[in-house]
Amino acid sequence: MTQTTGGFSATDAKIEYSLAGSTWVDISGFANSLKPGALTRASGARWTHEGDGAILTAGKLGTLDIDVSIIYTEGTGDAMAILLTQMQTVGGGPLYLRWSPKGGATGEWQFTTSVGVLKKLDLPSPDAEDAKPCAVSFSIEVATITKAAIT
Amino acid sequence: MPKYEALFLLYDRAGEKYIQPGEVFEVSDPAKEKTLLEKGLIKPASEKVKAHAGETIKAASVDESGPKSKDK
Repeated sequence: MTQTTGGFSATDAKIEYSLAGSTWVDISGFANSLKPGALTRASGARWTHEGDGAILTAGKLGTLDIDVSIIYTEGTGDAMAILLTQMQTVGGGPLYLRWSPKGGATGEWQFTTSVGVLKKLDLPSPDAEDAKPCAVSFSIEVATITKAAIT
Repeated sequence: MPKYEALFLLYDRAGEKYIQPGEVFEVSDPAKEKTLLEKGLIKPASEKVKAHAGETIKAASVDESGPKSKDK
């Protein structure tokens, strides 16, 4: 079989967030990494007295956790400030994410979440021995992901 | 502008909307048109689809003059 020529590194991805799923804010200049968990589906098995193997059935799609690392900055409209507000909103402020691994040009794929629950937001952790830019990470849990090609 | 049929779920970032597979839409940018065709994401809309997308379907003519009396 011939080797694929379609491989690429995802170092120039486009990552965006939205608070309503309609207006999107590009945080590619803040985001350091985005790590979606695996898509999962529940399954169930029962065994009967006759036969050796299980009767296996498929259930519903599982939820998905997405971990994002961003550069910590202190501007009022910066990602950190927005995330902190959403995290501290009573009942949980809505948050949507979408990302394009190749960068978001025409014909490239884009993954968009359903509304997510912001479940974890790291606070900045100063370290005298760390010379790298201060970064924080957050995690959201979403129900579904939609893949579409960008026009 | 040329009309194309989406072969997969597409996303129009300029209009912030999805284009469903089978939906007919216009592509104004030649570079975008070339890329989408090369990647097999769209195909030229067929004449039949074009007609459905672009034509106003006229209702069949209705005789509104009321019931005709029948002479016996």
